[in-house]
Amino acid sequence: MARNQLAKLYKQLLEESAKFSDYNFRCHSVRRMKYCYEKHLNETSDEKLEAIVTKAAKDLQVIQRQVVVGRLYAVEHHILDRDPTT
Amino acid sequence: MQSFHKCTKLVTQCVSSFTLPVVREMAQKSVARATIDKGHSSWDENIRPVYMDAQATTPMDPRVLDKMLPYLGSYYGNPHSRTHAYGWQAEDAVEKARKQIADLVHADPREIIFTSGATESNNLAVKGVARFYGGKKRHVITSQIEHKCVLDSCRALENDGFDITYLPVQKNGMVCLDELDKAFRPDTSLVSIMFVNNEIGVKQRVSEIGSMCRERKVFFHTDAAQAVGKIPVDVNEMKIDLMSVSGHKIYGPKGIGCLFVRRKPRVRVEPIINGGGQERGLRSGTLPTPLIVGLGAACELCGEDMEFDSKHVEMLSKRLIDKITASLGGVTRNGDAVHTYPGCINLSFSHVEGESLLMALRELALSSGSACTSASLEPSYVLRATGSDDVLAHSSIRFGIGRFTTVEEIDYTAEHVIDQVNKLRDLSPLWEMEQEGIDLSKIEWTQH
Ligand SMILES: Cc1ncc(COP(=O)(O)O)c(C=O)c1O
Repeated sequence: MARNQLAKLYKQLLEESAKFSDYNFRCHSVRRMKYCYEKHLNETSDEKLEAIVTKAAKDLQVIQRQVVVGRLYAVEHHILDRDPTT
Repeated sequence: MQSFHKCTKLVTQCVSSFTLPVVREMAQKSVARATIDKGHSSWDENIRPVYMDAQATTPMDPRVLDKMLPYLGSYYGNPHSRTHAYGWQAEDAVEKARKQIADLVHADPREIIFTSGATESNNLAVKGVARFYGGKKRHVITSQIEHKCVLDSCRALENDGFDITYLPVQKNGMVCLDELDKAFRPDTSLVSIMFVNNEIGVKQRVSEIGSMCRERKVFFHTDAAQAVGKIPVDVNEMKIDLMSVSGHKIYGPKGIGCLFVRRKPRVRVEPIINGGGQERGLRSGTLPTPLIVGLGAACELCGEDMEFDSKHVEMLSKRLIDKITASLGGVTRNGDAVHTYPGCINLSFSHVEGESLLMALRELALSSGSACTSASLEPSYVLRATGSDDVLAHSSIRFGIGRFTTVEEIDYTAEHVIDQVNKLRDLSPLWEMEQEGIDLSKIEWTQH
């Protein structure tokens, strides 16, 4: 149960991370989400899984808010940012 | 363009025959600049360069900003207000942050004193300890490669009649423990030696130094601005008595830091800032709640992500060094290759003037050393202390890698550095001569 929830959450976390307008924040967040997901992939304890789900849900809120904050002010594009989302 | 190159080559050759090294160097610099300015007249103002200066400062992590924002808005109470909820909320936030910081370095929250940053922490530690015990103890030991704020605090103590020993470092940038052993005196109150150097990344043997100080009942202060949050730090295991931390080096806000001051055995410190008696009287002034919340959050994230971050930084560091050294000869790494923080790479490119290289690399945000001295053209005192000659010290560049650096940025950096170093060397008759097997140190330069 918690496992399905986690997979769904990580999909959302990845999608949301990809929305950071800042190139470096975007790359970092996507990379971190992939790492976290792989790390927790083989977790079997229900108790631990639930704690992870709670934390991931909080993380998602933080990212959603910070994606918005990041778009409040327009800044120059990073020289390597070929796919600016703004 | 062809004739422009020919012309600069001629001028360069001319210039390099000045007998006085100072004159020769200055002339070479201006030629290099003229060459570079010509090639880079069209910098697009809408583009940001790749940030490779993580020792100067780091971007604030969005997760840190997220924790700070409520305290920049609704929760504006003074944490020292005892009579209402605004004050209590702010105080709770400050105390939570104090614990987050203490947990990262295995300290007690009561041992954390908030300051405006590592500069203030270093001033408070060095001057504060020396002055408190100054009645009987008049000697302080430090090293020649400390940050300017430690060295300058020591100078201030010298003006007050204290004796300071500035320990030399070995070629690899490490303090020699035998030298330290010899430097202790019966009236030594404090040893202040930095954890990780901000210019060459060298990591000192902090545990050994801590033990040596504890055995002699001398207090040990370490400037850990470049270490805490990036490598494991345990103030008890390492026998550290005082330690400086800075927020903006660990993805937190600027203008906040702290000083760890040990309670057992108790370290006494004379305050520098007097007033309302906040922070156990050691640092008066209303605490900046949002900044403190940011520092606390930054520390917690550093603890949680330390393995993830250090693996990434290590991988990028190796990649950059391998790429550059595979394509370029005459590259020297400054500082020990083992006792080092991998996110700080200091390289010298022989026959390339560092400042000229920086100007040529406008798509990279780099520096030749510390931000405080990068405005002047004098060679770094840190590199000089390692015995590097002025010429090599002048050709050094520091690459600062952090949590937010990407693989793509590293490859881009390597490519551009290799390209520009080759271009500058093509203009250098000295490099050409050396490639032809001429020993430059044996040449007698004549004046025309
Ligand atoms: C080793 C070291 N100490 C102290 C400082 C000063 O820190 P702050 O900017 O927090 O005053 C810095 C950075 O400039 C540093 O790298």
